[in-house]
Amino acid sequence: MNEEFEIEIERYIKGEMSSEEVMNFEHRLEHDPEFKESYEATLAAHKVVEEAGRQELKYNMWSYENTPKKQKKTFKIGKRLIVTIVASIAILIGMSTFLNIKGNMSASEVFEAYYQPYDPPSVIRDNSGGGSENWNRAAQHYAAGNYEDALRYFEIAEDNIHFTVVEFYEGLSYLQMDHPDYSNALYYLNEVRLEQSELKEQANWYYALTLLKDGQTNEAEEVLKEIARERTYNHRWAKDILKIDIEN
Amino acid sequence: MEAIYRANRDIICAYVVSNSGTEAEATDLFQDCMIQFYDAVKKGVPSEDSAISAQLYSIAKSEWSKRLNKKQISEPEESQSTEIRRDGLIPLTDEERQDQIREIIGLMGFDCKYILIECIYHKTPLKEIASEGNFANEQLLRNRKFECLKKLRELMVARPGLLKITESDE
Repeated sequence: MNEEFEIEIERYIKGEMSSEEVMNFEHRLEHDPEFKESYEATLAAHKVVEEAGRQELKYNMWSYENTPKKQKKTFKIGKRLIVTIVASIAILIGMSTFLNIKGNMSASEVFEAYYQPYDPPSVIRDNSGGGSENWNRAAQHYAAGNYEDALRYFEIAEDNIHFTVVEFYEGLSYLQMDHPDYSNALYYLNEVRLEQSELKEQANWYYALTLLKDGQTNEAEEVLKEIARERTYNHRWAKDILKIDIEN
Repeated sequence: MEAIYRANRDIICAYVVSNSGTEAEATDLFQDCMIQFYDAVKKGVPSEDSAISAQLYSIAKSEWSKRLNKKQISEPEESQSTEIRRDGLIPLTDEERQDQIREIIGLMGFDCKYILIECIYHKTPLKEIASEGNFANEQLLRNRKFECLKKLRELMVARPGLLKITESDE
């Protein structure tokens, strides 16, 4: 595969060639097996990317199912109408970006609008009779919303659970307690976001929201910018939040 | 997008549910219709005079009818399709294909995933992507896109089922 091939193939796929170029291209496809192979591989790669794009779009649509509609209350009636029109125009011209209208919200309101509890941890079933008891108790308390009790067991969870997974749920427990402890929540979520962890992206998202809730708006914006830039977990929501004028 | 989603979701889901669908099937179908609609807009398929909601409704009706038919005939064919796969030709099921795509794209890294999806799926001009992201200029982004595509093709070689993806087009 060389770049020249690639450019030519892409122009053909996109229908950017003149009829003469198309004829030459198709002639080459018929008579040059290496070129044909390269063409087919590129075409397949394009199809894979298109499918991945659809998957991403669908994933983002789930956020509409989960985002409370109350979020829109923060826009005045006139702006709401504008938002609808802008969004309709955006899709009509094929834009993938969403709302462009700024609204005013307090940091706390933003948190309430965007915060969704993360799935509870899984209980580990083993027949050996040991090994994950503390973790399982923690998971059960967490699922039942008893975050203080969950924390007691997370702290002594067994070593077979990766420490970042435990810390992630410790952070969320501190955040969701009746009297949340934001500094501990931030501490644990920060630990996870700085590690190589399967929950790194999620930790980053909840870290940003916790900063908002804790009134550290500027720091939260920095993390949200990173999420939006790197298109990690909930990056579309991060982008949305960045468009809001957050009142301190 | 969100406004269109919210304005049409309930009507279309109600249609599916009242025609033997479950809530989950209805949501899934509605989201797929939104994507079909988005794809058509991107391709510049001239929209008829009808409103967006009428177009979505029409896509949904035809898609749901297809899914219902498929549902009715899928069970007797299930064992046959497994045998075909044992022949080694590996026509992936839709679910397998989606899983492999998720896996392969996950291996690409954030930059590549972002660049390729924006360029190829959303058809966002390179200039616009360069101005939004961490790319000094359009040429650097073009080079990066080429590298990413190359990487994707290499990853696909280990997944021959995906190389046949073009054959599964409707």
